[in-house]
Amino acid sequence: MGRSRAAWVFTYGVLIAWSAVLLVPMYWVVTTSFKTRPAITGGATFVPWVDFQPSLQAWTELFSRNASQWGPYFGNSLAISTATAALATVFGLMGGYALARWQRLGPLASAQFGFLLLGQRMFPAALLALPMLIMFQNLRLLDTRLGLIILYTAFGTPFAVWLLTEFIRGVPPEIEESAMIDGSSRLGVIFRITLPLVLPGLIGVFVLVLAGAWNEYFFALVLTFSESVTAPIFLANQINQTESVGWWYVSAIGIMSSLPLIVAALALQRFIQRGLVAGAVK
Amino acid sequence: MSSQQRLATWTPPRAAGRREAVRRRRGQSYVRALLLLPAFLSLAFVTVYPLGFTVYASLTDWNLFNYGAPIAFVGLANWANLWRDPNFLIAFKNTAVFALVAAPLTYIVGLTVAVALDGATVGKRFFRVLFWLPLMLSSVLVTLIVGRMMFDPFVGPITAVFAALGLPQVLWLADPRTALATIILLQVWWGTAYTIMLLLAALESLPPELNEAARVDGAGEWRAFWQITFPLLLPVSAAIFLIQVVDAWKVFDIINVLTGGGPGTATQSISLLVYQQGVQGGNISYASAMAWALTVVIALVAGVLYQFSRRWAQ
Repeated sequence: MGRSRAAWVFTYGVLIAWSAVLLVPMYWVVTTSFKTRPAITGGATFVPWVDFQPSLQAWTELFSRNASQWGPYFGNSLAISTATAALATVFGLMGGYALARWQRLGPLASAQFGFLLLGQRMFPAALLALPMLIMFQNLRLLDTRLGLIILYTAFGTPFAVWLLTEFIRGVPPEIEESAMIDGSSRLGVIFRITLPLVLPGLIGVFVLVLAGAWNEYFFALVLTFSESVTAPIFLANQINQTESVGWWYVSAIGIMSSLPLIVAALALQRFIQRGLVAGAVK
Repeated sequence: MSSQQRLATWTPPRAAGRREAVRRRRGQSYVRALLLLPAFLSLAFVTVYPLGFTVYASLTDWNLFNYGAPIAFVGLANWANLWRDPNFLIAFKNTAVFALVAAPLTYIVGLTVAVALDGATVGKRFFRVLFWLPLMLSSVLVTLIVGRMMFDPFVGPITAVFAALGLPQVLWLADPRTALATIILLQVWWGTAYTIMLLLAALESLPPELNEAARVDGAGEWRAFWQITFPLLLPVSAAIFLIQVVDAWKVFDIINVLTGGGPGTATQSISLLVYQQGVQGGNISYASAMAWALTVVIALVAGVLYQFSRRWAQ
């Protein structure tokens, strides 16, 4: 082909360089989780069996002795993020259907309404956290799972509405109308015809909201302190507590906190990528 | 009102069809309102209430730890104090530097990688998946692993590599001169994934004939990119840039986990100061004014970029 040798060198030079930038830290965290104290305090060690002896110590510690230490926090994160993702997806489907099927919503055109939904992205979490703190205190929601589920759902729902509007617009209304002429109710049509067609969008939204809630740090930091502390807060506290960091242990917890999400994301990447791209550019 | 009256009165049979239509339309508007209710409530909960609350709080002397003390109205005193507060000014400067460097750097790296990825023939699927993965990692994990561990002066590989190459030892996060730069690198490592994804999607949606036509004209690949491809990417680029700049101004997670604003005030950001003074210090009125100052800056920057994106889209 007409592609020059210089272009080929550029392409693969950049790709390999960026891969290295991403992979070296990932390699480092995986190998560190198999290190022991001497392999860390003696300076950096790079290759297992060459300059350090790999050990399963961190992992066995994690799953036997210390399971009661991290278990509750991961349980909180799991409960909060799945409940949030389920609620936001359902609310997103409802709102998205309304925005996609009706041109005007009172005084607003539905396009303007969609813009409003995304405008909230501009507000810094620092601004929103102060009122939330007062409100949660008054409603006795501080340090509860329910409180975080409500808050994360409120953040996830506008995003879900926005994305799913795009997907539902892709289903021509004529399909629904012809099924309604055949005697089905509108709700029946939505469940049997529209829902299966927008399933990729629903999966994408579910995983993205799940990831957002699972990884959220700021509001969890402000609004929880003991009972409903989540995994990211627990992970961050591993460093603050002591001066000498048990890096092998931190690495193992870090891997454990992100691996389920990475596996899910890899399995469902097609759906997620479509959602992310549509969400930003439209 | 009139439709209700119309429904209540008797209508001749000829109008029955219209009455049915009115009834259906009113039924639909209930359904519509019901479908949008969660979205409206969410929006009110995360915008209307907090925005109103913080505007009010910023005009008072409300302090969480003054239990029982009456809250007095102080006008714009908190706002006026902002511009005399050296802590705020330092945080403002740091945040501005962070946003001004991190956002363009993220875009440049992202564009370079996206263009390379678009031109790849072998292994494109592998690279695409790898480059996208950081998006799924939590800010805390990225901060601890890539930030703390890689740059650790004692156990980190970067220090060891520097020593092996005979370069001087750099303390990275512990040195006020390099701490902010290290945090910027971290933001680029993490934020580039999203930029790559969006630019790649835009590149792949361009018709392939464009570049071929340019090549027939004898333009080199370099010139073809700048004269044909890049201008077509401008609208998407503006949107990406908008997201990156807004997110950079809001920076909190990385800094709080990594340095807590230190050493000294070298990495203090506005969001971090709001957290420290409002949540930890209880000075909710002053923190509200500070958070609003940040919001106004973000709105101004976003407004300017949005105007650019609309001009480029034409």
